Amino acid sequence: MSNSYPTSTLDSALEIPANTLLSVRNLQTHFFSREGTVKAVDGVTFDVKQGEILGIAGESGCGKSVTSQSIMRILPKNAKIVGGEILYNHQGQFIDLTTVEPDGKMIRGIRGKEIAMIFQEPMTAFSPVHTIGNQIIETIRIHQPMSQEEARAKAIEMLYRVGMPNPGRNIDQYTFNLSGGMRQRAMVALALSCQPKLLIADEPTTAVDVTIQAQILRLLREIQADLGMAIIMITHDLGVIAELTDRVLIMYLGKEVEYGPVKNVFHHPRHPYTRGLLASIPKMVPGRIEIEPIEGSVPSPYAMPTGCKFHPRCRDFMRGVCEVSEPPLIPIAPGHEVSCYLYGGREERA
Amino acid sequence: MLPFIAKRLLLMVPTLIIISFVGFIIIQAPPGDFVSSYVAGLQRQGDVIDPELIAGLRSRFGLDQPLHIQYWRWVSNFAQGNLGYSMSLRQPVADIILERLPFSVTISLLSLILVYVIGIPVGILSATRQYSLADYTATIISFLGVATPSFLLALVMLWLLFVWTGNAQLGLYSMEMQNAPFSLAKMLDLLNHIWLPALIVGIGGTAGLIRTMRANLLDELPKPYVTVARARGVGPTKLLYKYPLRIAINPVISTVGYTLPDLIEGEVLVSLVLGLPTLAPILLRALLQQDMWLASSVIMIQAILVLIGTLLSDILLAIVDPRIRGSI
Amino acid sequence: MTAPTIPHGKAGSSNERVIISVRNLVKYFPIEAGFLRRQVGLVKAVDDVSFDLVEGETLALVGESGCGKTTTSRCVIQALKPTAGQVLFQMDGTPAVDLTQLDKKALKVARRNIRMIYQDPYSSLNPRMTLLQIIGEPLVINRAVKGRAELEERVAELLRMVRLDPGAMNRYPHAFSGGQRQRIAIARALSLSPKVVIADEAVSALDVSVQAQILNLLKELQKELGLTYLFVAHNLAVVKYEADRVAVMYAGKIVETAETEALYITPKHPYTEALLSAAPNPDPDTRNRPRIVLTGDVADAGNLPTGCAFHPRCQYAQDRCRQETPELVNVANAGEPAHLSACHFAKELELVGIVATVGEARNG
Repeated sequence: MSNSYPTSTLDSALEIPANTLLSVRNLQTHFFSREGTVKAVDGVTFDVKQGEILGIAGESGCGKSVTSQSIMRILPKNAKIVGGEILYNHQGQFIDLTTVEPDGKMIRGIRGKEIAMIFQEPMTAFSPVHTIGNQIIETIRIHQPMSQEEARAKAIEMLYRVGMPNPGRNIDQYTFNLSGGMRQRAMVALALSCQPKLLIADEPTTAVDVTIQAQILRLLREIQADLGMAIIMITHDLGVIAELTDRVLIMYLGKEVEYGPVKNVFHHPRHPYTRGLLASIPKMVPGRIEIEPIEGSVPSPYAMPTGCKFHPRCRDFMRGVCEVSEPPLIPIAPGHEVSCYLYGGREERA
Repeated sequence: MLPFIAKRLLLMVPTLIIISFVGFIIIQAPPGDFVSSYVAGLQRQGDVIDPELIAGLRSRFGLDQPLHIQYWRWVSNFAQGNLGYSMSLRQPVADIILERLPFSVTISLLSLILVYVIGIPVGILSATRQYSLADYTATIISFLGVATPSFLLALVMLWLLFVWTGNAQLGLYSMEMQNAPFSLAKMLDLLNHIWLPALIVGIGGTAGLIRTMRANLLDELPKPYVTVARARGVGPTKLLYKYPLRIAINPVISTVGYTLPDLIEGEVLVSLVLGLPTLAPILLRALLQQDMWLASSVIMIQAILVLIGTLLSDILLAIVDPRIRGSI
Repeated sequence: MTAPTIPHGKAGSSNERVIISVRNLVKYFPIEAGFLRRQVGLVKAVDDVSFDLVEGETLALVGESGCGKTTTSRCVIQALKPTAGQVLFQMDGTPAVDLTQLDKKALKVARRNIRMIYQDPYSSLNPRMTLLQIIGEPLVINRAVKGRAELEERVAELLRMVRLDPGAMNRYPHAFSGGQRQRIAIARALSLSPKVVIADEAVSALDVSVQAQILNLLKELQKELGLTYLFVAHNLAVVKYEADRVAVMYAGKIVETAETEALYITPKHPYTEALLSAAPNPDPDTRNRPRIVLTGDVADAGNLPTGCAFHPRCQYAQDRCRQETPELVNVANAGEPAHLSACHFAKELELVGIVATVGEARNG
């Protein structure tokens, strides 16, 4: 990937590498409220290839969920995409999802059918007064011309595929009748019902027991291999990222700080924040390894630091440089980029 | 669900017994009885009543018996379907109620329809266009409607109508039609008069429903299942009606049952102000005159209707909301 | 106090004092249904749990949702009244008392020494009280300070102890971040200089970087103040970092207890093995390791299987497991620290724990 931002849509279309399913370029999404404007996503760029698993990691307030909501165009009313592009490979042609109508036919044809999403809490993801079957069948029939019986058969098959016990019976259950693990599977079945090309998983394992989490991760891996589906896995759990993803994007306060193959980022972290994160999590290895927390806490989004957003907490802070302006994305290895002045970028700011 | 219904029906019996008891005591609480107030009325007009006649009246109505005998007599009759005899109106209670029933029911039904037909859509509009001009307008009107006492509204409307049309729209029929046989003309006359009480009775309810509908829907709209449905590609119509509205409307549907007693009785103050032939004014007069059987029986009927109404509400709620169904 | 019946402690040391001894703790919740709300079953949330808490150590209670760890911790502090069992509490030099038998007054005194920190830093602090009021409340209620000046001094000291600015004491919780609020909760817990602190998922709701701060703070405070921790958690990596000994719970029972390293490297119960295998490791090199993925859901304490509660999901299950409930017994070799397991085949099975990886060399 080149190290300069594309200057026009025409140029960017030419620069997309082959086999890319989704290309997000310099996305900016802001939230507007009486207290001020929050730059929830402030210039994020990444690609997702067909069949690839990308992880987006970061702590609360980093903008990872907002990024996924921007892609699906399901932002709440007080949020708006103010810049950048989301280029999606729709049947061979790239369309910019930021330019389509937020609830128009085009995006509704993509949502649920080509790009699907699973959420953190399966209990609240379903309507409490409709059966799970009702909602799965609805999704199928919105996107594919099918009779009720055909759709129902397909739904049962999907439930079976995600490992739901007794799918023929449980399809007619309400969510409150199902156990936690079954609800999770129902939600996955709901998302996969039309065999999407891209699955966005927004913190799907956060609210779940570790043994169920292992089941879900294995399920995702199997289905991904089965369908050749790409996945964007959004989580704050670096363990899950390490277990599942091919590439990882680390975000902090709406900015992209490091982006690269997961092995590189985990074994040779470059950005001080990435290093700090990895050093601060306890490891499941024998012996005792001290953990080193990152000093301070995430600042309020209404009072963001100048320059590099991480500079107040950074061990490698360089006075006169880091607080003055935001560092650009600098490539340090093939496919591995970092946004930090430690690796250059200072020449451009004369 | 059947054990639930059975349990509720069984519980009704002790509840009604207690109500009958308490109601009876309260009616009898003021000093004296029907005869004494009747006699007092006559004496005010200048008549002199022979004390023997008074005693005779008393014994005829059974008012000379001790209280518990009177209670027992009434209750045992009531349980068998005999609602008693009204001393003030010289008619069996059952006849009085049946006479008034059509009017109460018609007015209440009309106002009910008004309430739901206006309240629900305006409430939805208010919620989906929160903080817009339409929402603020609806909100202001709602607050005014809820805050204004219905009898005050009735008086104001009566006066306005009188000023505008020169007609005092009292009662349900104009003078000429009052005792005329039933015909198309009478029907039209009725319609001409009935819109006013229906409107007045309905306004408070409409305003309340708008607020309730708005609040319920606002609760549901930001919920995750709506976002998820949007993320599945569900279109905007279904996104509103099939999902949040379906849940927001549950409490509204279930409270239909509570309107049952109002349906029969009618709104007291409005009926009085507008001179409507509903049951409510009758009850009021009966209480004032201590027309014991009339008052007690009407109260019992009301109590039964309230209990049945609430049971119906609960059953309705269980039907529309599977979560409740599962837990009862 | 009588000598503890369950051997514990590091090999060779006999000067360890048991400060809390939980014996045969039971907590059942009735399930009511039907026409007359008759009791139709029991949720056996805590089903005969016994363990000792040694002074100065950190004992972790680990398990998934529904295992009973939170209920156990609530029963220790008597926030929930146990259905049966004893919670013996003995401070240095005083006779042991059974907390389950104390009356309200005596319990209030005992509770000065056993305090709790909760999971949610947003709902565990009263938003209408200033820090001074929140942290000072226990001091005031127990009349541990005389006058406002002394109160403010003590609260300032506590704030400093948790690395917060004492000048903040007149502010309200909403001005602080999640991590800072948890520090406030810790300061409140320490206000009466307790001996034991129960941390109920105290770091689970925090961001990763903040979690590390709080974990280290807890460790430092333990050293400074000689605290004993009962650490309830579900995150195995956090537990490994923080605890000296670990007790794994499943369906209301303890299934394994051992020193941390021993439990993690050589687990002696299939459930522990599955938990360790399932826990994600932030090292991409280990992602393709052979993994035990359990089928089905966590056992429902209201509807337990016969025999060993874990047998339906256990890959090593035999007939005996279905018929006979295993006892928690010491399966360590003689001379080694105690390692308890509730599995019929604990000694025969060769279970796999965490292993050193190539990645470890990089992290070191």
